[in-house]
Order: sequence, then structure tokens, then C-alpha cells
Amino acid sequence: MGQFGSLKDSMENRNNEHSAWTSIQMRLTDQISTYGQVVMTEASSGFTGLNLDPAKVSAIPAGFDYRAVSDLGNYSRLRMRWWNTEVGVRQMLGKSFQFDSALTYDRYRDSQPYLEDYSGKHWGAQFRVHYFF
Amino acid sequence: MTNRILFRTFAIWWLILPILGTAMGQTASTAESKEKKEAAQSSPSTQPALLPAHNSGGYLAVGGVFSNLSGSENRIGEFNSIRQGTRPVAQFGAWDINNGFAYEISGERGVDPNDQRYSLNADIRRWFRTDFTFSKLPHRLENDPLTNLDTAKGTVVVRSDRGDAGVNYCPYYQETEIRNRLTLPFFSALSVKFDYRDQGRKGTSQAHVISKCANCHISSKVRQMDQQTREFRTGAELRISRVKLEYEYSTRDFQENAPVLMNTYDAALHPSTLAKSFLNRVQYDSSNGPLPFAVAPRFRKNQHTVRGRLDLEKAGEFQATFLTARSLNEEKAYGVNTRVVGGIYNLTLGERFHLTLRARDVDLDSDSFFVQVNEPVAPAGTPQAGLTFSQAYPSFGKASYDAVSSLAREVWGGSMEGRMQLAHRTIARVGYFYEDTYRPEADVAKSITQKVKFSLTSSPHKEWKGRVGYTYTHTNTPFTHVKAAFTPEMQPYPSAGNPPSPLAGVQYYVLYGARQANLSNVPTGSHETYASSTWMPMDRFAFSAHLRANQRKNSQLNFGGWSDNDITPSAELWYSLNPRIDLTANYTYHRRRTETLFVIPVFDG
Repeated sequence: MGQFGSLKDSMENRNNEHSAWTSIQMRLTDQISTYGQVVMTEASSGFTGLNLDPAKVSAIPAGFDYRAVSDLGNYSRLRMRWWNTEVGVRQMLGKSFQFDSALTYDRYRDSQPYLEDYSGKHWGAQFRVHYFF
Repeated sequence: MTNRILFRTFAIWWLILPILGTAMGQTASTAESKEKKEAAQSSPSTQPALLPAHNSGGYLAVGGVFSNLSGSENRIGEFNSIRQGTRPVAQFGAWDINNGFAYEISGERGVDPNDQRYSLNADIRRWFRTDFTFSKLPHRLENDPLTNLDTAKGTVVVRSDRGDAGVNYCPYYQETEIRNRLTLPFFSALSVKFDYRDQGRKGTSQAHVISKCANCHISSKVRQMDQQTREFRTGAELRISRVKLEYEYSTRDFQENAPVLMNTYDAALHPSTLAKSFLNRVQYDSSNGPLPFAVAPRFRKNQHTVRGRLDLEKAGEFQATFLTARSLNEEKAYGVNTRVVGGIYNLTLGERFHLTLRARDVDLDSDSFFVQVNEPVAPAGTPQAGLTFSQAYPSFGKASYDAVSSLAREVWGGSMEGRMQLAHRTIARVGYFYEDTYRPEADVAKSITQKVKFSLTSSPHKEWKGRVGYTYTHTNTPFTHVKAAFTPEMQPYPSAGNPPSPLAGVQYYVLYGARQANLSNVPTGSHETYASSTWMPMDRFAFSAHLRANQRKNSQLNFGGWSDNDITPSAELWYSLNPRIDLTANYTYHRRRTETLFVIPVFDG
């Protein structure tokens, strides 16, 4: 029991994000066009630099480990990478119909999960017919 | 963080694509691009890309989407319309322009039943125009397992229980909006408007509630959401000669229609002896029965806005705005009055110099609210039997108090900006801004912010254009929480009693009152710089590079500084290999470092 002041230190949050995308569109004929795109995002963040020194107060209550609070940075670390890919074809069928198709792939990788792992994948295929009037 | 990353990724798409589109539009000279442009100008944006241009027409589309999901859906599908298995999708659109009457209608249903968009726009001889939109959007939310809230030191326990294990939260957002403009055919100088917007959030989300004493007991529960925000706007616009006048009235109200969640708080017990001696240290415990929590109060805002513009021809142009609004928490009759008066004067001097003067006065007047604290007495047989906390510790004073808001403020300021055309298609801009803020209820009452900015835009050669800019902002005594942290040593010995009693010795309110460190996340000085350049050496190639760097620092804090620095380089490439193939690419890097003071009290009791 007791109250022995406070411990303090400077703490830094570091955040780095990379994102890149590329796409290509090709008009193969007057009736057929195709496209593809890739998007990638990678991000990491976390608190760092925290170093609490119990020697800076006159005493600490029994059972408390203030140095252990410094591992707050370990729990705050986040690292993720997300890929999104899509390719598609669009084709005119005569003057009144158009056919679209696309394939998509998403992958979210949670490299440093804390309470929950949010890693996930999604494959998708889309087909659609347009009628013009 | 992920939300921000997603937002940035798509924001970058939407920012860059129009730029590239413009570059393509400038350089494309084929018959195909002309066809595209004509089609884009004469048909709705929702139509498929290869649709030919006509004054009337439409389309129907049906199809299916097959999705295979594995792992968590919370990130890859937070705002995405994805569902496991095979689902139908549909789309339709139609438009017609005939004899002064034009309409456009479109609709789309995605994979998720809550992914829907519909719109209808109509124009009758430009006398009456109406725009209707309806949209629904699913939003996957997390279900916090609370597994980090489980620790104990003796009988002092932090624990959690999860009343919503296995629940997938996916509420949806829904918006309906209709905008109507009527211009009288016999008096075209006057037009009136009637707008209505209805936003809803429906579904479920996770709610948390905490019981204190003797355990810190955190519980999660399923919260029903049926929230509705309605807004009605009406107004008129009058144009006579060089004068334009506008008036608008708007009223907006928010209401939660779902049942209120209830919780019975734990019994307030001494953590060691488990006696009910802590009852006078909380407002409510199990003896009060079920009580509401996570309540969203009913809210209303009424606003009047008057705008005017006077064209003085060679003597410039003057614009003025007057706004008055009342925001009110209707459950507690607690609100804020807002008044804004502003003016802008634009003047062109010769062919090369343009001057803009701005002035603004803002008054936010917040009501005070009396917080009636429930003060139970300690039960018989406990050390403070029959006494409330205030009676047991007279130096604490009265528990009930008048709540005031640091949002209340009076702000006035102005700016002077100049734009000068220099040689070789080069434009220089300079500006100075001054703002005086007075907060009658905040720890730091007065702040003065001054800003200077400079930018240069140049296109000395048709293949190259660039832009650089710099802004410096200084704020003396910015908004700060005074005495927010860092309690000194006040009781380096055990409290009286066996075991030592938390009822004796230094109390929390004494510790809070003795804190020494001021904290703020508002800078006293900030430097913001950017540079951007685009190179177009040939008709089918464009390359752009950008750099943005910001440095913000508060150097007036007494126990450790606060700083926030970021740098963002990016580049885009567009290359048309031939008239039928386009290649685009982008890379963006963002680095941010934020530093602040971390404080933890060394305290047990």
C-alpha cells in the first residue's frame, strides 16, 4: 500500500505504410476489351521507446512490476499486408448485348495478431450480361 | 489503422485516375477517344463503358458472383459486398432527353442484400429539377473478445465476461435523399429548393459496460441499433443584376429507436474484506437493479444561413455569410448556440495580380448542465456507516456540479492572400492568416494563431510543370489540458488499518488535484511543405512525382514534449503502349512518427 509518485518516459508511435497499384487496359478489338489491376498495401505501426525505471521513485508497492509496462510496445505492434487483384473481360455481342466477367482475389495477412487474427482470403468470380435498349 | 489505409488506397485511386484521365484526354487523338468522349458527354455515368451514345436508351444487366471466403471477413470485407457462395447481382438504367424534359434512372443490387443503390434525376425545361438517391451499405464490425481484461493481484481482480461470443456484427448504413429546385418560369431570377435527407444505421453492434469495486468487471453485450437522422432543408436564391442573395433553413434530428440496454452493476465491495464498505464510493451498484447504459440521446439542430454576393465589376466582388444555429440534446435540454459572420473580398488588379481578403467571427455559446450525482450512504456496520462520500471526506466538496464545455469559444480572424502572374507561365501565391480564439471554460483561455504561406506553380515548358509550397503556423498557448498527469509522491507509507484500508490515506481526488504535467496534442509551431512535378516528354507518356512533409511540435509543455512528423513521397506513371493499350502505376509511402509523454502512477490502495 502507498503512493510513491509517478513514473514517466517519452513514448513514440511509429507508422509506416506502403501502397502500390498498377493496372493495364487493353482494347483487343472494337468488341472486346480486357483489364487487370493489382493493389498492394503494407502497413506497420507500434509504440516504442518506453523505458520505465522504478529506481526513480522511492519505493514501489509489493507485487507491481513497472518495468513490465514497457512491453506495452509489444502488444501495440500491428503489421498487415493486403493484396487485391482483379482481371476482367468485357465483350460486345452484337449491338444489344454485352458480356462482362471478372476474377478477383483478396488476401489480408495479419502478421502480428493480438486478440484476434484478422487474416482472410477471398476468391471471387463475376459474370454479367447487359441488354441495351 | 486499417480503415485509414483502405481509405487512403481508394482515395489515391480516385485522386489519381482523374489526373491520368485528364492527361489521356489531352494526348489522345484517335477516333476511338473521340467516340468515348461523345458517349461520356451524352449519357449517364452509370452506363457500361462500351455503350453507344444516344439521347434515349437504357440497359438491364443480370449476373452472378461466386465467392469463396476463408479466415476472417472483418478486414477484407469490412465495407465490401461479399458473401460466401453464389449470389445474384442486377443492374438497370434508362434515360431520355426530349422536348425539354430529361430523366435518368438507375439501380444496382450487389452481392450483399444490404448493398443497393438507386437514383432518379429529372429536369422539366430547367424550371423544375429533382434528384433522388437511395443507397445501402453493409459495414462489418469487430467483436472484441475482451481476453486481455483478465488479471488479479490478491482479491483485486480485473475480469471480463462476454455476452456476445460468436456474434457477427454487420450493421448497415442507409441513406435516402431528395433534392428539388424550382425556378419560376415567369420570374427566373428566383429559385426555391426543398431537400430531404434520411440516414439510418440498423443492425447490431457491441456495447461495453463496466462495474467497479470490488472487481473491475467489463461485460460485452449485443446492442440493437435503429438510428435515424432526418434533415429537411428549404431556401431561396434571388439573382438581380449584380446581386445574388441566398437563404436556407435546415432542421436535423437524430433518434435511436432501438430498445435501451440494461445492466445490473456488481455489488460495491471492499476488495480485501468483501464488506459493503465501498458503497459510498460509487453511484450505483446491484442494489439499484437494472439500469440503462450505452444510451444515444435524441438530438436536434436548427440552422439559418444567409449568403450574399455583390459584383462590383472592376472594383471587385464582395461575398458575405451569416449563420446562426442551435444544437440541442433533447433528453437533457443541453445545447450549443453557434453564430458565424464572414466576408470575402476579391479584387483583380491589372492582368497579373489578384487579392483576396477574408474576415470571420465565430461565437460558440455552450449551455451549462447541472450533473446531479447520486450519493449512496455506506451501510450500517461499515467504517463510514450512514455517510456519503462527500460527508466522509469534507475536503472533497460537493459531488454534484455544473458541467461546462471547452467547446464554447469566440473566434475571430482574417486573412490576406495574393496571387501574382509571373513570367513563363509561373504563378506565385502568398498569404497571411490571423486567428484569435477565446475559450471561456477551458484551462487555456486564449490562443492566437498566425500562419504564413507561399507557393509557386510553374509550367516553363509544355513537357514539364511543377508546384512547390510552404506553410508555417505558430500558435501561442494552444489548447492544453493543464495538470493532466504526473502525480508527485504523497504517501510513501501504508494506509492505516490491518489490512491497510483504502478508506484511509490519500484519496483519488487528492491525487488528481496534485497532478503536475500539462498535456496537449496541438502544436505551437508547424511546418508544412510540398512539391509536385509532372513530366510529359511525349503524347503517350506522363510521369508525376510528389513529396509532402509536415513537422508539428508543441514546445510549451512542462514535462516532456509532443511532436508529430510525417513524410509522404509518391509517384504515378501513365504509358500508352499503343492506342489500344494503357498502363498506369502508382507507389506511395507514408511515414509518421508521433511522440508524447507516458505516465503511470505508482500507487496501490
